[in-house]
Amino acid sequence: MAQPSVAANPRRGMGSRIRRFVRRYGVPYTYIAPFYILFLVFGAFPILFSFYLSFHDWDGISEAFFVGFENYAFLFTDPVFWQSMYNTLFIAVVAHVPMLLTALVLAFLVDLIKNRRLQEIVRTGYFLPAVTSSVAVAMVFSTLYGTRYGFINWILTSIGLSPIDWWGGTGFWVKPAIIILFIWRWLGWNMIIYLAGLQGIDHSLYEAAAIDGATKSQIFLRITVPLLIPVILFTLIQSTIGGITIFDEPFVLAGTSGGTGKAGLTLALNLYNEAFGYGNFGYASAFAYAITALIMIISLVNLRLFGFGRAR
Amino acid sequence: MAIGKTAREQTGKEPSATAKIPLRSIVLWALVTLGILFSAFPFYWMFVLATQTAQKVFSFPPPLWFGAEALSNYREVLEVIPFWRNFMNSAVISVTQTALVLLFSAMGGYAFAMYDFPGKRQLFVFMLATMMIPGIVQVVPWFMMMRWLGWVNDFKGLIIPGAVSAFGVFWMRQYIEGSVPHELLDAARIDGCPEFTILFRVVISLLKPALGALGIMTFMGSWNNFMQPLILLRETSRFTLPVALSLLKGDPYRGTNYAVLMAGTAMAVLPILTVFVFSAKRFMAGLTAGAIKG
Amino acid sequence: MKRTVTALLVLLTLVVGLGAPAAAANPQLSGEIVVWGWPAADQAYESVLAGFHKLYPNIKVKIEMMPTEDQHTKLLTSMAAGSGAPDVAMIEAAWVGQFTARGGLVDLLQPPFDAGRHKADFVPYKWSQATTPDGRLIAMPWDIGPATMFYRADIFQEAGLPYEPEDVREHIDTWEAYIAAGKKVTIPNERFMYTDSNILFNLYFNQHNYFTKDDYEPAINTPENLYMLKVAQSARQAGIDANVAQWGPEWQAMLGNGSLATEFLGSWFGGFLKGWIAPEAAGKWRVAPIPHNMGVNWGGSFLAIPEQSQNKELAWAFVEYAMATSEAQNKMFEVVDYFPAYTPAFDDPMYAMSDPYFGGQQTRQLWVEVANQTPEIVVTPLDRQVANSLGSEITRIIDQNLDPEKGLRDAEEKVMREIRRDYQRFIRSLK
Repeated sequence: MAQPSVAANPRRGMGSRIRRFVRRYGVPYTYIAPFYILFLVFGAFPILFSFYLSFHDWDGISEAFFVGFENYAFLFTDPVFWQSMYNTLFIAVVAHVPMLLTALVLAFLVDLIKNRRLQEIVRTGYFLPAVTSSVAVAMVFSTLYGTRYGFINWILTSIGLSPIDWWGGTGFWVKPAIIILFIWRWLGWNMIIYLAGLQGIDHSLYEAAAIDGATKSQIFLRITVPLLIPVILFTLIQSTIGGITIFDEPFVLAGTSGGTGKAGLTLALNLYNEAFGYGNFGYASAFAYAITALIMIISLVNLRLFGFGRAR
Repeated sequence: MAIGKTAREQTGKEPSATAKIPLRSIVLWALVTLGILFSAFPFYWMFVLATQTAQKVFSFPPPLWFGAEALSNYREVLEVIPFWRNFMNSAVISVTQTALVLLFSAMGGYAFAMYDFPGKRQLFVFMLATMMIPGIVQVVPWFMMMRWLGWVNDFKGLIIPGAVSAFGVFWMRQYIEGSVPHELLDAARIDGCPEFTILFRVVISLLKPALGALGIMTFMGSWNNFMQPLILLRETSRFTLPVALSLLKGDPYRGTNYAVLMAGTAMAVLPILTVFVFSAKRFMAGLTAGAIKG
Repeated sequence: MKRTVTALLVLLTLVVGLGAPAAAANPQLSGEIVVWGWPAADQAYESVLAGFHKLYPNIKVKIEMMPTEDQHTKLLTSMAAGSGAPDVAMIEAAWVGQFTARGGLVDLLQPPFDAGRHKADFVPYKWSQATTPDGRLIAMPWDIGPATMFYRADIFQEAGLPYEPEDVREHIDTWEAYIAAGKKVTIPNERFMYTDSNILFNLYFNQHNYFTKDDYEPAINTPENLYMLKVAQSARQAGIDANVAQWGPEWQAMLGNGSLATEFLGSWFGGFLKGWIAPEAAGKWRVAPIPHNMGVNWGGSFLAIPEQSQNKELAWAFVEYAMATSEAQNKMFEVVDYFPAYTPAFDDPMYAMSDPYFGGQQTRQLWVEVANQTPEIVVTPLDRQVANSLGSEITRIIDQNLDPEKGLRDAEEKVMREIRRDYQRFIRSLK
């Protein structure tokens, strides 16, 4: 392959540079290649195609025609978009804040269980909901949420409280219903992640603190939480993505309309409707890019808040 | 970590703070127990409902103990869908996909963690960014590609595009950065181990816990995947379990026989539960080591 | 060799097929078609295959089944992707507007299909439901859901109400009479007249007449709808509805334990009751016309041929046989209870049969009567969007007992504001 002629010198220089490059970086590039190759083949086209579509008007059947930034401009004036934005952020925040806090406290407690067997059972119990399919979830929870024969209302009325009209009325209870289901499904997942983080913490730190007279809550706040920051960040970013793209729970509970007053209509549900319900593939694509931007912004804010933006 | 455990085992006591406030800890333990009931009850109930007749499912007060219809509901499921065939389809797809994801994630994560190369930062950020695009609108162009490739009704269409995972690479990089020392690589190089094979000969055995956790997460995602197999697969005998199960919802004008639906769902959830229960230890170990390293 | 076999088969069919209906069958058509449907429809298809193969021995029919809601998503995805659609697709009434865009499904009025010649044989509203604003016929009517009031004769009797079908028809013929009867039936927290007041309002919207027939002006804030909204509100105020969601688990429970006295649904609801939700209630249920305005349809499906099909002629042979012959329609009715939209089928004696589950009532006679009285239906691609927006507004108005005039006016405004872009585009596409 190498040409020993003088005339070919520059080329040989180039060739050897390439060879040196390959020797030095061949392994890492080969190792990361599968991801980028498969992504270019299968991931890039859909993403670029939806980008293209976001500037067009297309019902999925007829010819697409170019509309420029109309789809993006319409986002700002579309009342349904803003309503679904509000619903999504409301559900995401109200579901995640108590869920992550509870998960953290639970993880701390479960970590204290010394019997290995018992701890395993507890962990598995908490993790179960994360492996369910939405069909079963829908069925079980619609029975819990029944207005007249529902489990929850049965309990409420038997202790003398008035029953909840989950799906009707002002639509107020639609969001709590979704939030409860969401917490049920993902509390265990987050608890396990925190627990995993906790088990990486040296327990002698706790004991030293206890000897110094620290209370349990002081230990929790001063030692556990700071050491868990990377794990918390991980769950926050995962929650941001999961919260903003929340689809299954409102879909199975409130249906595609989002229920009374559209109180359960989330961004992802609205997006699904626009594409497959109403055949607005162009608008749906613009919509998807708006959601993507939102996720990126919130993730970056999370990173900054925890001081990771500058570190890397 | 190991030191902490040993210390705790040696003392054989919980931190003394616990002992001083028994009432508060009783309340806390009650909460832990309540949380478990809250998490597990719907499952128990699903299995209970799977053993009832259709009418019994909706009787009031609801059934709280197992009925006698398990076998007949099971037979009913088999009458509507080729359950075991669908089960095998799901298993083949999930196992193959999981194996590929593990391989490529280990490779990618290893490269990002242990090597420096031009464009590393940009490539890594780009990869993370791909995680943030919602998949719903990509269904149509994805299906177009499947047609071009002739992969409609073919498991390849589910396995190959799903063989890599940005999350997986990210996950393995986090783990490797925190747990594989560079000296190990140097030692292997000195021993004359070719650069390309260090990962597979030396490093891979250290990655088992993280691979185990990633494996379970991938397997779960693949097993519960609905939209893509629905669009791609054509014949009932090629369906994956979730798609086949939704056939149990039946006709729009006849409502759903929830007892049979529950039976099918329980049959489908059982293997996942089994996999999880039996691998919980490894899963936890992997998370412990993987998650903590920011 | 192959030709000899074909010739033999042709000869065989000619001999066997002599007694078959007079459709201009071309037995030489050969090939394979893919037919989509959801569970139950596959049994219907299988039941007509024998008859179909007598006429077309060389057309192989491959049935592919998928979940109901998702079949439409799958069809839309295939259309958008440019290929992958079947030769024959099944479409549910609520989805038909979705496919009215040009280029998705073939216009069956064009040659070689010329479906127009069957028009007089189908109930008119069903035909109108598959007709696009620009006059194409995108699907062949299959079954209909003539809606009636299902009621528990035993509960009516116990409450001192008329309970024989003829008497109920005569006395509970207005909504006022219905609400009055409801007050007698209802025992607070125990027994209710019907499921949910939204249903009363929606009864008329299952026809999807959200727009006027020729110029597609919004038709939500109309005197008829206002009247129904007021009825629904006063029924709620009278406390006669259970306020539980139809199709939900609670609803099934209440039907099973006899705490709902009436239900308004399509004819297919009979099969649902008998099947497994309330088999032990045999002899207790009856049917009577819906008060005030009996011509209501709820549900039903169609067969369509996607433009992508490479075997349109074969597909049409199947669609025409299955949809436009009494033989096939009645076979399917027997097997899966899909009430035919094809009127010559009603000549069969089974439509005069009395049903022991309904206390020996000739229920099908009433359903045929309802089918013949149902007015035409206006279908637009905006229907699902309007349904989603409007439904949640109506619930609010009823549940919060808002002023109906203002509520309905606001609801129409809100719906039109939310769909304004798609509406403008739709109106533009008509010109």
